[in-house]
This record gives sequence, structure tokens and C-alpha cells, in this order.
Amino acid sequence: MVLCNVECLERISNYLDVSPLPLEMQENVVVATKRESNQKIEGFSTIIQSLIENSNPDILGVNNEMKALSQQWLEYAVICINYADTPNNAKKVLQELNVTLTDKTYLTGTKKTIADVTLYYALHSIMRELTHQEKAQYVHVSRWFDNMQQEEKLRQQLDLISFDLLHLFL
Amino acid sequence: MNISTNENNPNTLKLIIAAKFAQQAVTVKTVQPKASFLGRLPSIEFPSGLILFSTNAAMQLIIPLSEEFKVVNNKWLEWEISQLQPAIALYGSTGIYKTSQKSCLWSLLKELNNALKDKQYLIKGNNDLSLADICIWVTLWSTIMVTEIGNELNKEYLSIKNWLSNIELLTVIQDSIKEYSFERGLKAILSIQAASWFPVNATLNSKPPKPVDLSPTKEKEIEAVSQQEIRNISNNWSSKSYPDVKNFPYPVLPKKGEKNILITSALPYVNNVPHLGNIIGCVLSADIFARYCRQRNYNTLFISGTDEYGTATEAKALEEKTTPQNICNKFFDIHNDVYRWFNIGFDYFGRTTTPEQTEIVQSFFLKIKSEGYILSESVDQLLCESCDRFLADRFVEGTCPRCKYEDARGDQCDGCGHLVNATDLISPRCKVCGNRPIVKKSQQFFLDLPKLENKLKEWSSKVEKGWSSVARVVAKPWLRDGLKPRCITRDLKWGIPVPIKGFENKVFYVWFDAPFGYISITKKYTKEYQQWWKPKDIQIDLYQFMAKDNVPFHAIMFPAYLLAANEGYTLLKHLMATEYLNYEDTKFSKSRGIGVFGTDARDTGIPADVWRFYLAYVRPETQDSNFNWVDLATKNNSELLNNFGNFVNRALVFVEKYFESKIPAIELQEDDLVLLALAQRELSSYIHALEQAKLRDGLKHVLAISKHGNQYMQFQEPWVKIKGIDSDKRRAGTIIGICCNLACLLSSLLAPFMPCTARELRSQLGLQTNNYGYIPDEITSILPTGHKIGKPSPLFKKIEEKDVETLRKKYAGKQDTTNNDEHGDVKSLDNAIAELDTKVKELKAKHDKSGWPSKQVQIFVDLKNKLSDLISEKNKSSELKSKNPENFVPEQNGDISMDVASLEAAITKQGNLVRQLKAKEEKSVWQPEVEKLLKLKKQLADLTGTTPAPTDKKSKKKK
Repeated sequence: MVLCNVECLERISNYLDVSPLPLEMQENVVVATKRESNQKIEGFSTIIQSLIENSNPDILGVNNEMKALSQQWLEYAVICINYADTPNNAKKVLQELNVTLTDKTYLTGTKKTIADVTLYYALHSIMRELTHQEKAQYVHVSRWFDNMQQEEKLRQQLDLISFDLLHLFL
Repeated sequence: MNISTNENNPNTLKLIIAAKFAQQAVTVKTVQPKASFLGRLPSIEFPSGLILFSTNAAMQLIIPLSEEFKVVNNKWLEWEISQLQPAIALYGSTGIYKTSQKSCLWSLLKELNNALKDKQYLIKGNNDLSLADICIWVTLWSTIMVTEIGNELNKEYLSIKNWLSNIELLTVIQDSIKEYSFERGLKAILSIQAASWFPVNATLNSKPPKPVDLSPTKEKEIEAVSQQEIRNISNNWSSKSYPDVKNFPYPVLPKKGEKNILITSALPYVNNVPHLGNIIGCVLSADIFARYCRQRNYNTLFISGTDEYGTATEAKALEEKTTPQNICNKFFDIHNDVYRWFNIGFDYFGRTTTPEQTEIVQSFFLKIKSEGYILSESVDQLLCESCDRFLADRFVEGTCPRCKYEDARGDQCDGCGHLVNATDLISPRCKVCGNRPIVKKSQQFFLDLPKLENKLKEWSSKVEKGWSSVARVVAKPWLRDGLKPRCITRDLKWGIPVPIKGFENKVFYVWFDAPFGYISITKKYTKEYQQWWKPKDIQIDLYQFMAKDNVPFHAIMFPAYLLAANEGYTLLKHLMATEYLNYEDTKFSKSRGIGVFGTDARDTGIPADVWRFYLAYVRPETQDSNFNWVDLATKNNSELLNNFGNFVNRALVFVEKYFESKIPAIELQEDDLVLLALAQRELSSYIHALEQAKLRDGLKHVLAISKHGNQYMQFQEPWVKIKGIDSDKRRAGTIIGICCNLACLLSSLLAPFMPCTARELRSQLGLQTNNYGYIPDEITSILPTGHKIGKPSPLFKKIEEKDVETLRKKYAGKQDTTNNDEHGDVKSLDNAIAELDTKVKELKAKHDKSGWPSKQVQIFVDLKNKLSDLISEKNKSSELKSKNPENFVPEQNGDISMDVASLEAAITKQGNLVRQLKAKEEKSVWQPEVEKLLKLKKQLADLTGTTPAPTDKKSKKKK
């Protein structure tokens, strides 16, 4: 089961306060159907960007450069994080994100964008299973994730994952 | 704009085309993927400094998409990067482009071909070249069009063919190709691969991923057994003999040239009843390991005992109006009973309040002092004036000076894990009464840890490889951050007196005396204790088991004492620390009645062996784990009953029924050797795991052997063969003979975990039950042909779902509220208030209420309810009935203003109670109630951030 899945999109819809579109998986690709026009929207990132259009365009980024950056990370979600459901892929994804987040609060810098939101949902099941040692190893991802999960609206019914300082203190 | 790219990467062409379109100039620089961010290329730097490695995102930034066609453009761009490119990359490495899978390259092309039917460009209604066209065109034209696929495509997918050649003719394309020349085809694909990562291919291309869950009942791909393994097993079976277990004389002493294993389990503090987490954390883990060592014929000594000195015991004695020694005696019996019921096979279970302990601790102290590692200094001690006593570390709380965690304890901060000195706490408070203690000078002894630091480091670097990872993680910051002198004496009464003139009224700090308990308890076991602790020319391996909170004292303090004494004492070699076990996703709590405590386990009707099995199965080896009733029942029913029990029972019943209870003759064939080789793998893994005290993994290998056995029996169908001709019957005999031998092996492998069950199985197998059998390195024939077995019967009972549901409810909390003991009520009320207070502070620290974790809010609400229950119960039980009988019911929505309201209501109520009591009773009766009132008011002040209401002042004046 890939990680950028229907459940992930439904959570994002909830977060954006838009009623979720009917969604289904075709092979590894999510497909949504627009209610009014019956038009099909294919692709995880494409669906997210179209959800934003209808709710909160600024969450993609407040200017074109930021938009491009969050598109880049949405693309990363589709190509890479999607397959982090195996231990080896998860390891590499976490390594890459750890490098990325070393000097940033959010993926695109200092503003939270849809890319952060999407990655939070896509990574939740991975982060939940990490050992304390792994959480410490990917300390920047852990910090970013812990920061993200403090928003109750974002978290929805997902578990609050413990990033106990005692163990992160290596 | 500056493009960085690796050589020959076609994705760079996309950026160049986009820039041409937008009439912007670019420079192209060739770099190695290693030198780029995340190894991705091409990347493009914009004048603002922004760098993007996503070609598609960069193209959109250069040429913004028109709103009208955004969705469909996005769709194709996403399709190109997430499906087409990975499929092309896969083709580049495997040469495969047609498979049955929908998303293979050939079917992707078909999808594209359909989309391009009767169209000049990909996007309907848009007669211009779009980003999607550019992107897909470059990818196809640069790569597969000059491979074998190109020819087939030109024949089958005409729409793509026409679309490709039309676009190629465009001026902007021609110009761009001239500007960036590269070799098309396989080389271009390899260049993309070198500077990107498509994990989808790893998933498609490799074997299915290894399941993370090690559960042996799940299907796993099994590597074929090699000829070498078959040869080995065949040799071992016929030629090796099965050794006996040694009979160890009393006392067990180490011997030169043999393996000598000294095992300690952290001394449980006498003052409380151990819960399941405590039990698996130290004593049970140590016991399983000790049993394993004995069955390996290692000279093994396993000792533990109760840690009895310290303020907590003293306080408890005051509370119960008895002596500390009586408290210790009472709780020692409780501990002893609990461990006996769990079949913990200590060689000796002692205690620290013995003359041996006093003598050893005092002489160690004098020796360490004479070696120059003891400093004497005047220290500031915290004195609580309202309680009239020096506060032991555990009776002070305050803000951590290092990490500013608000509820740091006086000895250790839970926030950052560092040890703190109680006097360094910012705004300290007495844990008993909440008042701020004053600082008073007192002369104390210190251990000069900085002077020992180098010795410790040298020792630690040699041994820490053998520690469990949590032990290493906890211990590491200590030596890294530098050590400080540590105070080892206290102004208390219940402890070992300091044997120095002028210090008669002081005792040793409990963490100075407790570790020596290991030595003094060994001395209680044998006069020859020094052979274990001060060996001459004999190798002793000391294994210490504990939960992670005890690590600093065993990894730093105890070794420091022994190194300071400088007399060749046995030092810790393997530090086996566990994480915490949670109970049904929450913490064990004696005061709230949550969780199963040692004394409860026997009341559940579940055998001790099943408890041992399940606790080992969920042992928190790498991270906190969870005790779950339903899981307990499931594991019992699936692993023990259906897997293990089923296998051994079928084998034994078969022998009884068809072979007159005698092991039949065995003639090994290929199938049998394969089974034995598979079992041998598990056996080797079992030994490897247990040698490192990885008990949980070891147990899973035991279950894997019986699973192999079950499959073998199912496949061979001896019940069919026994009814056939003579050769079939002989074959059935071989199969059953092998299964019985495996059952025999299993009995010894299971014994460390489930000793009673193993003994029962051994009696059913017709073996001696005065030992558990040797754990061999290699599988050999154990039961000879003709060996007579005992009477088989099922080893395990099913645990019904409804029963565990009853148990789950029983231990889910609130069981102690029926306690009529006045004292208990006041105490739990106090606890509840303190906890509520802490939670309120925590929640307040997060300014935004929306950020409150839902769990916390739930705890908060629960506590409030509990608090109100207790208050109303208290009022009911009081002789004085409140004039206003309506019960105080707090709001349940966790809203701040409501909390204030409920606290105010509680204060009013308590105020009435106090006034009534004061009118009729003596001070001793109303004083505790006044204190409660003050606490409630303080809480209110904390919550609202204002000074207490005027009524407070009035009551203070009265006081």
C-alpha cells in the first residue's frame, strides 16, 4: 500500500475544510472525480493543488517562488515518500528530509505550506514506528514533525507521537 | 538563471526550452550528482537565490500555467515524473518494457497515444505547445525513441509518432537542441538515473519487502536449504551426542577457564508493589537469561534483593505509625511472594538492611576515602520548615536549571535526563506540602567524580559495545558532558551511618549504598563471595538487568565506586536496560488502580508461565512497548496453543497411539534433513539472540521451530502413511520420531521462558524433570529409538475473549475508590490535586488551547472528575453533613472558564467544611482540610494568573 493514498487525501481535505471528492485508487495513482462536472482529476499532487484552488490558494505559497518550492515537495511526496512503506525506502526518505530540514522550520523555509501538511500525513505511519534511536538520528525531521503535530486541526484523530527529549538527547 | 546538470541529462533540455520560451538567458554548468542537493540534477538557480531540483516545478515558475488548463497540465506533468520517467529508468536497467502490470512503460505509452488521438497537442482546446507537451516530448525523444521501443512505437502508436515529429520541427525546440547537445538513448537514461531516485522501481524490481513484524506465524520467504547445511545436519544427527546439564553444587562458584556469569537484577525499591513493567524490566529478564545460562552449563549466579534504605521508607513508616524496619519487613514479604509466584529462580533474594551491607558499605567508603576520592564540603541543603525536615531529593520539585523543564525532580530531570542537584532547582517546592523550602548549610561528603573521569572513560569504551542500545544512549551524555562531584551523604536517619567522627547523624545516600547490595547479598549467599566480586585470575562476566531509569547509577556511579576502591572488583560488562512497558496505552498507576500489579497476576487465573511468555514476547527491548489484554489472549491462543502446543501434542499422541509410547526407528530422508536444517537455523539464531540477552527475539525463534514442525507434519501426513504398506509405516515412524526429537529440543529452548510448562513437557516426553535439558549448539538425536514417553496431555488452555474483557475492565482503574480508610482518601485526593496542578501548568504553557493534545485534555477531564468524586465522597464520609447537599459537578468540556468555575465551587465547598470543622473540632482535625483549601486556591490562582481572592487573606489571618 502506497503512502500517498486515499486516506491521506481525505485528511488533507478535512484540514482544508473542503468536502472530500470521491476518491479511488487505480494502480498506484489516486483519482478523484469532481462532483459538478464529473471531470476526473488524476494524480496525488494534482488533486491537492486543485483542492487548494477551491479553499485556500495561499497555502501553496504566498508568491510564485514559494509555490514552486511547495510543488517541488509535493512532487517529492509522489515520487519518493509514496514508497517509503518499505524499511529501506523509509530510511532514505528520512535521511533526505533530515538534510532538507537541517536549517529550515518548514520545507519551504519559514512558512507552513501544503507541502508540510501533506508530508505530515504521509509520514505519520512511518514516524509512529520509529525507535527512539531513529528519532534521534533524524532529529531535524523529528523536530519538524513534532512542531507540525501540535496543531490539533492538522492532527485530527492521529496519535500524538512522543519525541521525548530524554531519548533525543544523544 | 544558472542550471547545474550532470553530463548528458535530458531533463536539462526541458529547462532550456522553457527559458527560451520565456526569453530568458541561462548558463549551464556541468557538475557531479554528489555535489548537488540530495544528489538530484539538474537544478536551477533563480536570480533571487532560489534553487529548485524539480524540473517540473522550475518550468512552471518560468512559464506560469494558465488557470484554464492548470489541472490537466498538472496531471500530465505528474504523470511524466511519477510514472513515465520511473518506467523509462526501469527499462534502462532491466530492458523490460512490456509486462502485465498496468503502469509498465508500454501501457503508459498506450495511455498517451489515446490522449493524443486527433490532436496536435496534448491539451484539448489549447492549440499551443504546453508545458506537458514539452516535458513528455523531451523525455520520450531523448530516451526510448532511439532504442528498440522506438521502432515498435512508430508502428503501433501513430498518434505519438506524429506528435513527436511535429514538435521536433518547432523552432524553439530546434534552437534549444542546438544549445544543449547530448547523446540520446540509453546513455541519457543512465544520466537521469544517476541524478534522481525512483523508489517505485526498487519496490517493483525486488523481492517483496521483509515484514517488520517478526511474528513467526506469518509467511516468510524462506531461503532454500543448501547442500552444506544438509551435510552438517546429517553428520550431527548421527555422530554427535547430546550433552547433559551439569549439576551445580551449592554454592555456585566461578571456575578458571569456564564461562562464569554473574547476573544481577536491579534491586526493586521495597516501598511499593512491583507491576508487570517492573517485573519484565529487571527480575524476569534476568531470570530468563540466568536460566538460559544454566542450561548452557555456564557457572551462573543470579542474585537480587530489595533496596530498603532511604527517605521514602522513612516517610511511609511515619505515615503508617510504625518503624521503617517493619515497613521493610512487610514489603520484603510481598516482593518475595510475587517473585516466587512468577517462578523467578534467584540463587539468592536478599535485602539491603543487613549487617553485611553496613559493613561492606562502610569499609568501601573508608577505602575510597583513603584512595583520595572523597571530598568534604559544606553544602546548602533544602529544609522544609513547615514539614520540619531536610528534604531528600525525591521530595523536592522545581524547574530544571539546564532545560527549564518545570517539574524536574530533585535528583533527576525527566525533561532532559540529566542528574540535578536539588539546590540548583529554580523555584524549588516541597513535594509534600508545596511550600518553598529554605536553604541551610550542612557538611557532607562528595565522591570526586571528575578525578575518576578518565578511568571511567577508559573502562566504558571497552565494554559499552555489549550494552543494550538504550543503555548506551542514556549513559553517553554523562561522560561526554563531564562529571561533577556527587554528594553521597544525607541528613537522614534511615540509612547506613557514616563511620566518621562528627558525621554520626548522617547516613549514606541510597544510591551510594544500594549498588553494594549486590555484593552484600552475594555474601549472604556464600562466604566465598569474593570469588565472584574480587576474582583472582578468573574471568567473570557481570550482566546487570534494569529499566532505563537506573542506567546512570549502574553505568557511572557503581563502576566509579569500584574503580575508586581500586582493588580489582568485578565491573559491569553487559548492561541490559529495557525501555518502559505501558499498560493498555497508558501508564501503570497504583494510586489510580490502573494496571496489573504483581499481587494481582495470580488472581487472574492465568498461569505464571503464560504471564512470563507474554511479558517476554512484548519485552520493551528497543522502544516502549504495550501490554494489551486482547493481544495476550491472541498470543496465548495462536502461538502457544495452536502452534507450539499443537505440534508437541500431536507428535506425542501419535507415538502413544501407534507405537506403544516408544520412539520409533528413524531413517532420515531428504525432506527430514531439510526440516532439521531449517530448525537448525532457528536454533543458531536463538542462541545468538540469547547470548546478547535479546530475549524477545529468542522466543520468536522457538516458536518458529514448532511452526516448521507443524508444516512438516501437515505435509508428510504420517496419519495416512501409518495405514499403508510396511515401508509407509516405517516412514511414518521416522516422521514421528523426528517430531518427538524436535519436541524434546523445544522443551529445553522454552524452559528459560516457561519453566513449569517445560517441566511438564519433559515429563510427558518421559525425561527426568530435575533439570530442563541442555541447550545445544547443534541439533542431534536426543531421544533414542525405543525411548518410552510419558502420558501426553494438552499443555495450554485457551483464553476466552470474554474473560480478558472482564480482566481488562477490572484493572482499568478506579478499583481503589471503595477504600474506606480515611488516610487513603486524603492521600489520593492529595495526589489527584498535585497531578491536576501539574497538568494545568502543562496546558497553560501552551498558549493556544487549540494546541492542546487531545489525550492531555482527556486526562485533564478525567482528573477533574476524579477530584470531584473524591471531594464529594470525602464530604459524605465526614460526620458533618454539608447543609447544601447538592453534589459538586464540574463541567466536562475542558474549557478554561469552566475549570475556574468548578475550582471555585470546590473552594466554596471546602471553605464551608473548614468553617464547620473549626467550630467544633480541634486543630489536628481541621488543619489538613485547611491545607487542602489553600491548595485548591493556589490552583485557582495558577489557572487564572491572578492573586488569590480576598477570602484567602482572611483565612490566613485566622491561621
